[in-house]
Formats: sequence, structure tokens, C-alpha cells
Amino acid sequence: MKDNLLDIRSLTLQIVGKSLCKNLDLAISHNQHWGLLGKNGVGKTSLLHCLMGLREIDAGSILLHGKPMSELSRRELATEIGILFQENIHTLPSTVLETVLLGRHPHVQSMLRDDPRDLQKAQQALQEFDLADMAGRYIDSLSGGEKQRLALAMLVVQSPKLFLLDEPSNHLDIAYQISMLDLLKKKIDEQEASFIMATHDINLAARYCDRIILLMGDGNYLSGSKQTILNEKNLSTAYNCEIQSVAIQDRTLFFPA
Amino acid sequence: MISSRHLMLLGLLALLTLASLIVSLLSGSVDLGLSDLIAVLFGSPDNLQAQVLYEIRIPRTLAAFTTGGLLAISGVIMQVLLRNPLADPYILGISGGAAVGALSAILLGLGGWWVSNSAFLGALFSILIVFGLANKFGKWSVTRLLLTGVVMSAGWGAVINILLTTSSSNNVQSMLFWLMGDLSQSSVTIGHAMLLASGLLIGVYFARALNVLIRGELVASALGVNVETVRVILYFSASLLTASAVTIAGSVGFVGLIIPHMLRLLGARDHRILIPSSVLLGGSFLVIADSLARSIIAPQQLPVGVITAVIGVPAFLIILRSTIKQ
Repeated sequence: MKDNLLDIRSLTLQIVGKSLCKNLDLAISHNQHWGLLGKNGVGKTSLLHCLMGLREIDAGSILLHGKPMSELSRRELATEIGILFQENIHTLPSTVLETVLLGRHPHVQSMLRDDPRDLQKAQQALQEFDLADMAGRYIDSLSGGEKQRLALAMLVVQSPKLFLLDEPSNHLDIAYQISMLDLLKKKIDEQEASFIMATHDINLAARYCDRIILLMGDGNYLSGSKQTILNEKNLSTAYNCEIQSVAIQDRTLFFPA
Repeated sequence: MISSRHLMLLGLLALLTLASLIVSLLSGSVDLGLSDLIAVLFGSPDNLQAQVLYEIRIPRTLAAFTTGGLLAISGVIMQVLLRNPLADPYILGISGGAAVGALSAILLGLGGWWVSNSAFLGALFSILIVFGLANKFGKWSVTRLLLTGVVMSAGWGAVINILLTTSSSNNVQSMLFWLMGDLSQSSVTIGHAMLLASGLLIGVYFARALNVLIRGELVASALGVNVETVRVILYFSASLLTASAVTIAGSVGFVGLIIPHMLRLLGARDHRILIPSSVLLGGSFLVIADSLARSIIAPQQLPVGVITAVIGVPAFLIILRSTIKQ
């Protein structure tokens, strides 16, 4: 059990009386790529927020490295788990570099002094996520896609062991979806970390994940390897819409019938 | 991230503070030159000049600096917590409650001590009501707090108008001075100075948390900030700083709103720099404004709040304009 990064045991989640998941059991260990699928409003985001400790759970327990999450401090959690939010707030001015540096917050040691290595990590991430020439720009002058890349860079700089990605492809054009997610996956693998990626894009999940959690909408769920979960029958039931698949160049694509 | 540019800004603000203190000590109806100032401060001759300095100008200058510093820190914190660039120290109705307290004391013909203390009580009362009403299961949503605060302010405004329209013209004059913010009756105690010092320490202690809180409470929690605790401490501190500022000088406007924005525009966005800079710029700004308030139409005095708006508005617009061009 100690080997598992995250143990979710009979987790029950409700929102205004509606059950999002019932008795969810899941073990996530290192170097795993999970996809979280289900139709709109099924509770993908709520589940991710629970795993980050941002939302109360109704029953069950979540263990991080075998320790109940409720016993860990926010800071301890933030060094192990990081989350990409769907929405971000930009009301007061700050620059791209300042923002990406915030990713180091859980790791800072000194109240006043900056660690030059943090700056180095931040600058490297900006380089990798194609943001280096915008380091000094105010965030509110960025496009949606640039903001999304900034959020990804910030998460990589945080370097947790488990990445919770809520719609990581949001606002990204098709080329950036692939290049940024390839890069993100590479960075995650380098750190021997794992990710859970919530997405509405079944094909993106099929491309990047090897394990799937499919929320059915009535509190039930399916979880397992991509090959066993992603099929026409399961998906059609989960999305309440007829979904067909086609095999193309050793990949399977899903589309609405 | 702190750069050498930030340290230079702090240095310049320290010089500005020193200059503003000297200007303030030298301006007033009794003529006093720089050499007299040095002679009094370091030689302490017992004469009229020493009396003017020690009994009138030094206390008043300190009152101005303290008030400005308190309001500026509180403004920074409120803008971050409420994630609203329009937030100022008074947005949650604190000054309204204080005003009703102060004006009631004036109406009853009570003296300065009563005016400040009932202002403080009014401010505390308003804080309790707003945070009590906006509280739901131990949590405050920003929207609910803002709405409760704004509605409470409107309510206090109505009470203020009742007090103004039913008072004798003699009292109305003092009431208007209080409402606009005025330092002519102010006295500052060691308690106020200690509060400013603790505000500065708390602000700097939570500076990194404030840097993250700008991105919202969810992001701050996810990045390891214990938002529930930090938020309570910061709301409480900012409210107390504001309550203390209004007891010194009444509701001086603009300082708490524009000083933080000016400094952000000048590049002080990291709160480790922004908080101390705010104390220096807020303090010296009010010191300069007060020097003008008592010398423009001397021997008559203007309420300092009028001057803060008259200087503050164009200065802010110029900085805003010049940074947009960049």
C-alpha cells in the first residue's frame, strides 16, 4: 500500500443531493496516466477538487502516501499534488514571469529571500512553453491560449508528484494541444510523476492516457485500462449519445454516430 | 521576485518620507527655518519655536504619517482579499460606522476624546455586523461580503444624512470636517504607532501569501496557503487598521485606494515590497497633503481629505496614462 501515491477508498461525493460518485475505489501509483471522462456536470471538476483537498468529501477517505489527506498541511499537499484549474482570476496586474514563479510557493524556504534556482526553473519553463519573449508582459494582455500555456508552465514549475489537469487543452489550437500536452507529459514522466486528466475530448484522453475513469452520471463509474473501458458501449451509455469508433493507423477514434 | 529596482524604489520612498516630514515641520503660521528646526531638535532651547514644534507640529505630522500608512496597508490587503481593484479600506462600511459614532458624539457636544472613541466603537460595530451577516457556515464569499459591506455603507450614509440635516450649523461644520478627513484635532498615541508597526509586520509576514491570493482563494489553497486562517487574520487586521486610521483623522479618502495602485503601476507588485512601500508613500502623501491643508489659505485650514483628492486624482491619472503608453 505504501507504494501507492494516492489511495481513494469508498469515496462518495454529492452535490445538492445528486450523487456524483458512490464508493469510488482507486489506487494511483507513480508513472501513471489517467483520463477522467464523463458528460458535462457529471462531477469531473468536483472530483479533482476533492483530490486537491479543496472540497469536503461526503464519505470515504483519500490517502496520500498512506496518510489520510486531512492530516496533511496545505503546504505538504501542495508539494505532492498540483492542479490546473479551468478558470483563472486576473484582477490585479502581474507579469508572466511573476505568475509562473508563484508555482514555487509551496517550496519556498525563506519569507523574504528569493532562491535563484526558483527563478531559473521559472525561466526554463517559460522557454519550454513558448512564453519566454512574454516574460515581462501583463497577464491580462495575453490570449486565452497563452494564459493556458502559462498555467501549464506554472504547474510544471510547482513539480508535484500528482498532476490534476482540468481540461488541459482548453483554449489551445490543435497544434498547441498536441505540442503542449506532449511536452507536459514528457515533463511529468521525467519527474516520475502521474497525472489525472479530466477532459471532454475522448480522443485526447485515448491519445495521452493509458487508464480511464469513466463517470456514468448516476454515481456509478468504470475504471481500468484504456482498452477495457473505451468502447462504443461504455461511452454511449456514459454520454447518453450513440458513439461509434473507427480504427485508423493503429489508433481508435471515437465520434458521435 | 525582488530586484534591485525594487530596493531603489524603497530607498527613494524613504527619502521622500524624510523630505515630507521636514516640509511638514517647517510649514505653518509660525515662521520656522531649517536651521531653527535643527537647533530645536538637537539643542532643545526652551522657546516659542520649541513649543510649536513639540506640542503642535510633531504630533500632527506623526498623526498624518500614521493615518496614511494605516490606510495604505489596509487598502492593499482589501484589494487582494476582495480581488477588486476598486476596493478601499472603507468598502466594507467601516468608515460609515465610525462616522455615525463620531457624528453622534459631535451632536451631543462631546469633546475630541469622545469623538475618536465613539468612532472606533462605531467602526468595530460595523465590522461585526458585516462579517456576521456575510458569514455562512464559517465561510465568507467575496461577493456576499462586498454586497453586505456596500449595503451597510449605504445604510450608514442615510444615518449620516439624518445627523447632518438635524444638527445646528455649528456642529455641521465639525461634522463635515470629520467626514472629509481632518487632522487639526488629531492626536496620535503610542498605540497607533504600534498598530502601524504591527500592520507592517503582519503585511510583510503574509506577503508571499498575498502574492498568491491575487490569483484567487482556490489557487492560493492549491499552492499551499492556509486560506481559511490567513483570510481571517488579514480581514481582521485590515479592519482594525482602518478603524484606527479613522479614529485619528476621520474618513480621509483616496489614500487607501490610489496609493496601492500607484505603487503597482510603478512596479511594486510583490507584496514584500508593496506593503512597506505603501506605508512610506501613504504616510508621506498624507503628510504633504496636510502641510498644504494648513498653509494654502492660512491661518484658516482645509480638511486634509480635500487635498488628498486634489493631488491624488491627477497624480494617479498621470501615472496610469504614462504606464499605458509603455
